[in-house]
Amino acid sequence: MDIAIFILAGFLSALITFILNNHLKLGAVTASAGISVLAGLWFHFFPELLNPQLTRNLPFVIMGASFIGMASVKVIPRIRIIFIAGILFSGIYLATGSFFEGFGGSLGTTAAISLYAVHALKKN
Amino acid sequence: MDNRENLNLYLILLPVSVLLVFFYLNIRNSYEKIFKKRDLISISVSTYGALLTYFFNLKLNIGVVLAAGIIGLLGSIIPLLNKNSEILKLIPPALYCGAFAGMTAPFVANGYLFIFFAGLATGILYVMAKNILNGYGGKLGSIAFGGVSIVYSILYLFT
Repeated sequence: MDIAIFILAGFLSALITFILNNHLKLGAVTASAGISVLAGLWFHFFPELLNPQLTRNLPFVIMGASFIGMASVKVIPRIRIIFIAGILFSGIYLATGSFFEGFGGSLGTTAAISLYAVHALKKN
Repeated sequence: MDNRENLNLYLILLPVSVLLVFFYLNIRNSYEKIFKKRDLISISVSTYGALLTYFFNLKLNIGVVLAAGIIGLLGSIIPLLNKNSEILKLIPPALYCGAFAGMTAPFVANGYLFIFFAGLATGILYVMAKNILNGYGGKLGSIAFGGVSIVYSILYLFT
């Protein structure tokens, strides 16, 4: 169940950030930071709502996946790439979450790996 | 004898000083070519973003996600102060990139000096990478990871 929630959070966060960034023209930083602040505030004020593992890791998954959504529609024209990259991000985070724990930028690197891996699969 | 020794000393020191002045003048010229004013602003903003995020996380105890998010959101408001300013438009991505470096946990960073140098390294990498991978998600985070890793590796090797 937890894994399903992580995957759902990953692709929803990437997708919403992408829409806010490109379709509502909010800009990449505003869209990603906005999603991150909402996730951070939610888990800051309601830490007992979900189980401890979700409360601890879900903000990181949401923030990390939002970095995927920072991609420009000019570079990633197909939204399904963002969708799949968001799911892949959650998978990589769950598998390697503690490897670079505490290092700033590790979420962004995971997001970059997820997006580039999926982007490489697209047919030109 | 004393005067002769002094003269020899001056004869050596004078060309050395002149050469040093030329050396620094050349360095300054190439430095200005490589890092323009806007690049220096990006580097400073990135360093500032890292320090602010680390401070917010450590002192206010709000968690790294919220700390970096707040810094990013505040940074994204800055260009609205003057929509015609090209300089203000540089701030949000550089600040958010630095904020990622500031997300480093205290057990890795060990203090503000580490974060300062990590933010600085991140800013320099950000400026060096300004023409590549634009529009790809995860670029800023991977740059920050590079900055933090460089500083961490240097400390690991030399301490």
